[in-house]
Amino acid sequence: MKSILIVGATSSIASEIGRLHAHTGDRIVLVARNASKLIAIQNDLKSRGAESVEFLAGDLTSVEFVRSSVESARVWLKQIDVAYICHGTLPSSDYAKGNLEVIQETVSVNVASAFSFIEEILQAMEIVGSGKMGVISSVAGDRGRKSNYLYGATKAAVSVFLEGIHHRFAFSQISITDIRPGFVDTAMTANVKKGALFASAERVARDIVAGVESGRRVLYTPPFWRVIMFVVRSIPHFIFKRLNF
Amino acid sequence: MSISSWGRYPKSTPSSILTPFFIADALASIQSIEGSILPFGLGRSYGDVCLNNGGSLLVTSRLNRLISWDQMSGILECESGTSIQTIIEFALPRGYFIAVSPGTKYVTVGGAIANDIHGKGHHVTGTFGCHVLEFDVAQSSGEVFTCSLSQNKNLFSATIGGLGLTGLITRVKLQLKPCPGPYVVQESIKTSTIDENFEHFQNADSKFEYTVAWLDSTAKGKNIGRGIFMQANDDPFRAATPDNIKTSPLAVFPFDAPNFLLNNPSITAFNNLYRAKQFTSKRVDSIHYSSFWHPLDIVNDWNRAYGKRGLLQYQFVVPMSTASHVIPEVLERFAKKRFGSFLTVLKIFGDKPSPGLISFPLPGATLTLDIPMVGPELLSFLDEMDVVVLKHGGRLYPAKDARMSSEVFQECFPNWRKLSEIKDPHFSSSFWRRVTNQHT
Repeated sequence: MKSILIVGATSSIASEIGRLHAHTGDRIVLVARNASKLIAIQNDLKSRGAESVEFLAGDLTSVEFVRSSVESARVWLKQIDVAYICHGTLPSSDYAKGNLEVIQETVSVNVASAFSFIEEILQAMEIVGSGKMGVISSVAGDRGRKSNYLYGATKAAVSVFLEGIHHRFAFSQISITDIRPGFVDTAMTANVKKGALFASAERVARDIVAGVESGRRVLYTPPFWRVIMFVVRSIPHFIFKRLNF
Repeated sequence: MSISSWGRYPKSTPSSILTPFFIADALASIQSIEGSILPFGLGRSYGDVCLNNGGSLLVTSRLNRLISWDQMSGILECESGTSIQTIIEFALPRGYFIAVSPGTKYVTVGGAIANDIHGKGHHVTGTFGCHVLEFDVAQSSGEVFTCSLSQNKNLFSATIGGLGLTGLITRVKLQLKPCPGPYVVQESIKTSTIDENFEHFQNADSKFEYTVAWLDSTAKGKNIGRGIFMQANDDPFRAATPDNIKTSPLAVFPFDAPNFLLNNPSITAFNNLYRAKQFTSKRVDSIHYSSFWHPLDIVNDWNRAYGKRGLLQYQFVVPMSTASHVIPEVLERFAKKRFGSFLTVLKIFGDKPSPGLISFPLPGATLTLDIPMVGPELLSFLDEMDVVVLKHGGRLYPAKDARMSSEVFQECFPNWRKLSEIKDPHFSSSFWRRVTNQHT
């Protein structure tokens, strides 16, 4: 029976991760913005067999809330065995037309808030000397593309941040997994046209729970994205600039 | 964007499709729509009960969370978009099963209530609505009503079998039934005439919880009604383990079958093959629940086998007193007109009443045929069949229907007027407008 912390717990992938841990009777703490959504998730996980489920609702971009929520989780769980950072926002393409507020908001949620939670949870894990963390980045961070470069940039920032953390904790009992999903059918992509490459949140969650458990450094989910992104990263610029995606 | 039901006939074009991820979002949506709206689950009904051409559809499949579970009583509370698959996979390891299961597990609880579905055990367990303890209905006015036999009873009754027209069902409380494991012991018996099937149904009545007969619709003359009769009970000796609960489809039907495959020689061949797999006159097997309850889920998208034109399902029930001659008459006329059915199923309904206002089952025999939609000649032929069914005191099943006339519907379900008064004015469906000639 493990102690699990899920930040951004109301996201589609996070709910499925929660369900997998409920199935194994774990103790779970959920952190997100919206209390009524958190209650729905809490009831779902409790019904499915979680040993206990607590939640904390607040503004994930506020430093005070980052500190207080991680501290409360640490107190409830005694120690954080596995933490998942799942919150994020997919911006509308307004930013390319001068909507600077979208840029501030996206960076605040996807970068500043994510970094803050990561550091704060690592501190809690360092006290105990062990722990596993999975952070949801994206294949979009592997290369900037004209159709999605704001989101991609924030995820690239997350991936480099995690790269440094890998280096820092290389010989410790703390492992951190850079999770790079491809297209996933979730609330975030509700307005995106679905194609054959879309995976279900349930499938991606299974890959994530297994990958974080085994301490993988970088996880592409589903795995074929590792090959696709290798190719995408390798395309020389003089060809790439002619592509329309 | 074109949407159709499982039968892929008719097609419809909704003005908008909303997919809320939380009940709070769904409530906001139904209060702010313009025009009409209809909840849409997993789209496994046929015809147009789940369609709202020109209006909005509210897809409920993401409202799939459990809310509470009581191990002692077997009472499960969940959001209305929870599928029967989810409930079965949750319940089996805990010693329970859904009380009523249709032929596919990819059906939402909301849809199961709205059509007041039945399964292969109606003679013992009744319809789905018989096992629903309570639910919340959210209406476009912003009000949410908790409904049960003791609270908002009229709305409770109108919503069961109410085809989604009384509002959005959000939360549901179900009574599950104790179940020893994921296997059933099935006896399958080859039958040569329709009367043999009826005899088996009668003999099975008190000894077997689940009964169904597959009939060979291509049989002619004295062979009419030949098929395979199946009777089953839960297997008490094989308990649930982590590995024997889930099932995955073995295959996906990858393309729309071309029309030339849907002709009578193919249908005859299929029926003959199906009958031939029963080598002996009687066999007994312990089989997985999914093979018994959900045989069609073995192939994903099997409806594509019917091609782009889709299929019509024709399902009716007639009282036992007339069944032994009406059923063969219908089968004979189908065979004569060469409207082949790949899959023809006969079940018996018992007399357990449903709490629903508009509920399809009545004590008697129900026949279901799957017919490729070949064209208007099929539609007019089915109108003729309706006359036969009605003449013998029977009725049709809205959940399967794409074409019954308003006269037929109103004669089958005189309570439609009460539903018309109690339904939400902003909820409507293509089916409802067709059979009531109302605008919403």
